[in-house]
Amino acid sequence: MWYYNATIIKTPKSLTVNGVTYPPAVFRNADLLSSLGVVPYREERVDQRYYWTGALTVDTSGDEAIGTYTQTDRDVDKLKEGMLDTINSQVASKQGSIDWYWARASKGGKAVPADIQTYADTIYTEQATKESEVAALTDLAGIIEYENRAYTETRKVKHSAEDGTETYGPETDTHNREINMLQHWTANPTDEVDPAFVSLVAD
Amino acid sequence: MALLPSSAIPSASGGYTIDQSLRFNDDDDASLNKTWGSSPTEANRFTFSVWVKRGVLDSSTAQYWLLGAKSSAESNIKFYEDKLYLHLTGSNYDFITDAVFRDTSAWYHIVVTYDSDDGTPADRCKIYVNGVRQSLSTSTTIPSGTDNEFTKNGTECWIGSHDASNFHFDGYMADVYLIDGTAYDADDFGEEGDYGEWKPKEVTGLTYGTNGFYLDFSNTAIKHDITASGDAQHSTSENKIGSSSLYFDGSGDYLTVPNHEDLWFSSGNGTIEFWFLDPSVNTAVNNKGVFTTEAGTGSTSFDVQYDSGFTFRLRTTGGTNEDNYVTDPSDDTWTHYALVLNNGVAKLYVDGTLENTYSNDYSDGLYHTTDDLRIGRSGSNHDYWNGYLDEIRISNNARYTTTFTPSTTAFTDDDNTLLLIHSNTSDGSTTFTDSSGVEGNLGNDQSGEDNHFTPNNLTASDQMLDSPTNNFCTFNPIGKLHDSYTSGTMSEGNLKTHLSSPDAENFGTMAQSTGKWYWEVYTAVSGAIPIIATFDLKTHKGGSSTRSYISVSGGTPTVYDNGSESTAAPSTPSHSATDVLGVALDLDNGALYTSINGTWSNSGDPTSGASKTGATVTSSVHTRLASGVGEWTPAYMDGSGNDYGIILNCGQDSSFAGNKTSQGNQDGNEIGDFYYTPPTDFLALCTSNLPDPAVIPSEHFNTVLWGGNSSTQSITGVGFQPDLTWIKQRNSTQWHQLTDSVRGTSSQLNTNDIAAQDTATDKITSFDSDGFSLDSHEGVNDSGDTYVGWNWLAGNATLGTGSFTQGDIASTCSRNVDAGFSIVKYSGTSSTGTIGHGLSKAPEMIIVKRYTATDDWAVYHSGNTSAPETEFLKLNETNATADDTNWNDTAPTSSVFSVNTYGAMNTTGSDYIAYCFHSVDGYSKVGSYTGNGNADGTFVYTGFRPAYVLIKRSNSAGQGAPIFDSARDEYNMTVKRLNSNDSVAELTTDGNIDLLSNGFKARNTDGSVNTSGGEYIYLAFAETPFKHSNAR
Repeated sequence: MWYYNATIIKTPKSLTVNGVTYPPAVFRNADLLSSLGVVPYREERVDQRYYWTGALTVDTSGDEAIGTYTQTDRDVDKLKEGMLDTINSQVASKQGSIDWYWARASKGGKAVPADIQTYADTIYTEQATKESEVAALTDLAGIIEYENRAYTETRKVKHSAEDGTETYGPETDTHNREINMLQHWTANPTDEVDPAFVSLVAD
Repeated sequence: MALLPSSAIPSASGGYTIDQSLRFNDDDDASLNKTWGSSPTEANRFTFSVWVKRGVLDSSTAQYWLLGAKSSAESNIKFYEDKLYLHLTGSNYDFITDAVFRDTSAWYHIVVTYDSDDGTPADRCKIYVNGVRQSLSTSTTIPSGTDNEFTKNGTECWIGSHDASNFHFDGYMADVYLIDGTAYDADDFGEEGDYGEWKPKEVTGLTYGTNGFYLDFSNTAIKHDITASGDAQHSTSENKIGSSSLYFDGSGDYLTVPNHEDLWFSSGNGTIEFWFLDPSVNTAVNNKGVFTTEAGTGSTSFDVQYDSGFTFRLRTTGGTNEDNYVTDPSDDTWTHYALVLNNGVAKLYVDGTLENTYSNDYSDGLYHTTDDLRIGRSGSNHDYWNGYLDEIRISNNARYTTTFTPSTTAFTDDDNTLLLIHSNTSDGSTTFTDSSGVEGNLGNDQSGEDNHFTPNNLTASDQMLDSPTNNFCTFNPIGKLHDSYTSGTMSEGNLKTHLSSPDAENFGTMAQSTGKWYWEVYTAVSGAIPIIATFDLKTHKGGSSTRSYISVSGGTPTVYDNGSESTAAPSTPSHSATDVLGVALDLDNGALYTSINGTWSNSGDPTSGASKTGATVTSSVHTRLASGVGEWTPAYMDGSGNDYGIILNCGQDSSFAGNKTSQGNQDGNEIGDFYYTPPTDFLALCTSNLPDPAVIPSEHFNTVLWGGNSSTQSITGVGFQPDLTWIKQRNSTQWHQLTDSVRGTSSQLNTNDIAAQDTATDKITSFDSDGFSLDSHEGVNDSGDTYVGWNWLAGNATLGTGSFTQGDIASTCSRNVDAGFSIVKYSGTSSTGTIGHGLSKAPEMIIVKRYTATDDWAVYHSGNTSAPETEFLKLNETNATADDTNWNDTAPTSSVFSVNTYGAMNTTGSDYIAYCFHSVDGYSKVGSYTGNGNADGTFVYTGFRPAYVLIKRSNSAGQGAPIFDSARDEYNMTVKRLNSNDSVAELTTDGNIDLLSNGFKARNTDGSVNTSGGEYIYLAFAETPFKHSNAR
């Protein structure tokens, strides 16, 4: 991105300076851009999940222009409403994907497998837990932490043989991850097993 | 690198283009707003025009407001239940389209007009979509003289929402107009293109009105351009305020400010002021211009010239009354001059002291021509001045009405400032800018009415290259395949997606078979790993059904080739969070390359062509990568269930929704915004880069409708002389009537029956240059009945056996090679053999009818099972496909198709007609799909906006072959079906579909189009190729 004459230029376009119009390719020539008074531009990012983005201020004092938006905290209660909606939709999706086990059983088919029954119960339990946790949140910082909780994940390193065979480990890698607790649920026992997974632990 | 001014560069394309749009992400509560501070020009008339590309559709209960008036009445224009609503001044005034608009792959043009004084009450509110006036449901009419709320003084006007918190629009908007006081028509904003599409045009001559505006989202500042000529520059040799001043050396130096009405002071009020230093080196030469608004030899409005004295000269608006005042500044001394117009009285202040009051009346402002304002040069004899100026300010008010002390600090910009030039920079700088006006802003009004909007939760990264004149590939939220598919959660203009289950997947709105394409992928999830995927939409059925894709996430890519997994691809390096992954898909040579942060994996070289150096996957691993075989589109899937989510960039946003700083790298056509430079010859997936279709669809296929008259009549409007016309009475039971130029006009066949051809002379009597002529037969022209005719162009001439490649069995044909259609006639031999079809490629669908005797309509279709040459379908029956040797178990070739001795296809003593089709990009498609048994049905990509679709379930009996078209159903949902296998009247209850800009989608679970697990074949022809199509 670039800045010229109080205008943010996101993508190359024809540029008129001193009555001369330059083609978009001018943006591939940093020296020429500089001589024309066009400077690189970047913005300080606002996480719009949590803040209202308002007016823009551009600092042109340095070699690059830096845009900063005013940011205002979003309403905590409204965010919590959205979080509860997310929990409910997650539960609906997860329970919906296994409802057919009960439909089959009710029509005289196979009984619901024990692991599926346990999974269904667990999801409801986790739903109640998450709803309580969300209800207990009182400020924006708490919401941000809940949706971006720090975890460490350990995964086995994947090895690929020349014949295409893949094996995992014994070496492992660890990664820092930020987990949205609204999306973090016990896995469905029928899900494909992730062969590289070792552990995921809250920091 | 040498750069030429753009005047030396040929224009890339003709016509008006829209360079950008604004992305509204409803998750961010994005919107723009302002509060009207003036009464409207006319409250009983307005026009709203906007181009819209929809994002997520969410639930049917969500409202997506395009324009809102936040008042007690809360007027709005919105999408609700996928229909367009105009809600006016209270609950009694709702105008709702009958059509639904849920095509997320292309752009709609929406125009709403309001004129409560229109003498025809039904015309007081109109909604146009893509230039077509919509049928509206309403319970009332607007009373004459009713004011609208959108332009009402004191009302909050919102674009993209109801207010800060509710009913946010999701998607893209471009070229937004609100006209206060005039009800314009759609064709004031758009026009029909060469392919029948509706496209934007340059809007001129509009009167915006007091509360009108035009938002182009260009983010440009609204300021005067200042052009420096000669060696005009900033100099630190002299300075009054700041470190420098403007210096003119008297030899070709001057500044130009384009003529603008602001500078005329037509209200009789204004101020021109500056600091002035006259060097002692100046000699008394006539007319050395310091400040002038006249470039030639005509009369000036205002000029300051250095002569033996310093002359301030004014003219009144008539141009004849000239006032001169001569002063004599001291050499080498900074002096402040201020010319002030106060209610028509002009006064000159020098260093804050009134020095002259001009005698003429300037109540109507200064005389003006069309000449620009020049600083440092006179107009009449082009003499240049040698000296210094500092702090030039022009204002639209009388800043000084009495003696004052001139500011010795930088002049300030305020609401009255029209032009402000500071000088406080390095010696020799040639950059001159207007420090007044409006800073760059996404909500800037470009109409000249200064009705600027405030952006809310929008940033510079939301300005997008996706536009009505260059539509970019995104993920497709209605791109649903088989029944285990569950859609992801999309946002950021359908570029960001998260999945909701391990089997979920999302794919793009554009798919390609040939060419070289580049796109990028990024994940915004910290600690997560982005994934590259691409699907072959011809064979991929979704989820755990038949898989046909390539997925790369570090290590060995996952490759499924039409259901078969391959592990032969080389391993790729690991990548990690915030990496930008690149994909170069070479469908000319059959190779896919991947990169991490601009470095190609495995030392890949996407420009290596046939050698495929370092390719991640080649056509030897996934056979459908070969040129012209698959139909590839960007995709996202994550079988692990981790659902990291990705953000796609097909060249419309290298900021990845603000997560990175846009880098602005373009493809070889100077299109796109990529984070890294695309490899040479690899292009962005956007309509400007799509190839032009081989044919203009409407010149090769067209549908016409008419009412019968039980007499004779000529049906026109086909646009060409048809070679095959297929007629069906719509409103009651009548047989289908197929007439072709090879058999002749008095020879009709009926797809609903096995009968031999009817040689009646009272049906089609001639094929004409723009249609055909009818006699009075009730099957084609019965008074009081309605009819549809589908028409194809072949060759308008029948070629003999020496004119094209023959098979074992002699044939004649009329052919349209470019359009992939031929009509072939042959006589049966009762010997297995081949028949020349006259086309350049193998037909994908062949319909054969023994027309001299009763027999079935035999159908070969390339999508009918994995071995279609061993299968046999009947167009006249509801049978499922049967394993049969009728096609001699031999697939058609580029010159012939094969038959055995089955009576429906090859018996001695019988004559046969064969209609042969193959797909032509952007015009026709012979394909297949699998039903999902869901009202949110299977999406079928055709690469064009269909005009005609024939569907036939192939894997189970009991279903007819419905035909849909865009002439009988001008909008979605498309419900009017005629079954080729029966003679009943048009049905509207079952088998509903949406015709879309790039394909079609089943919208219910009827067995004829969308049973779960049902295999369907189809034949489709285009209304508009996707390169040009509007959303439907």
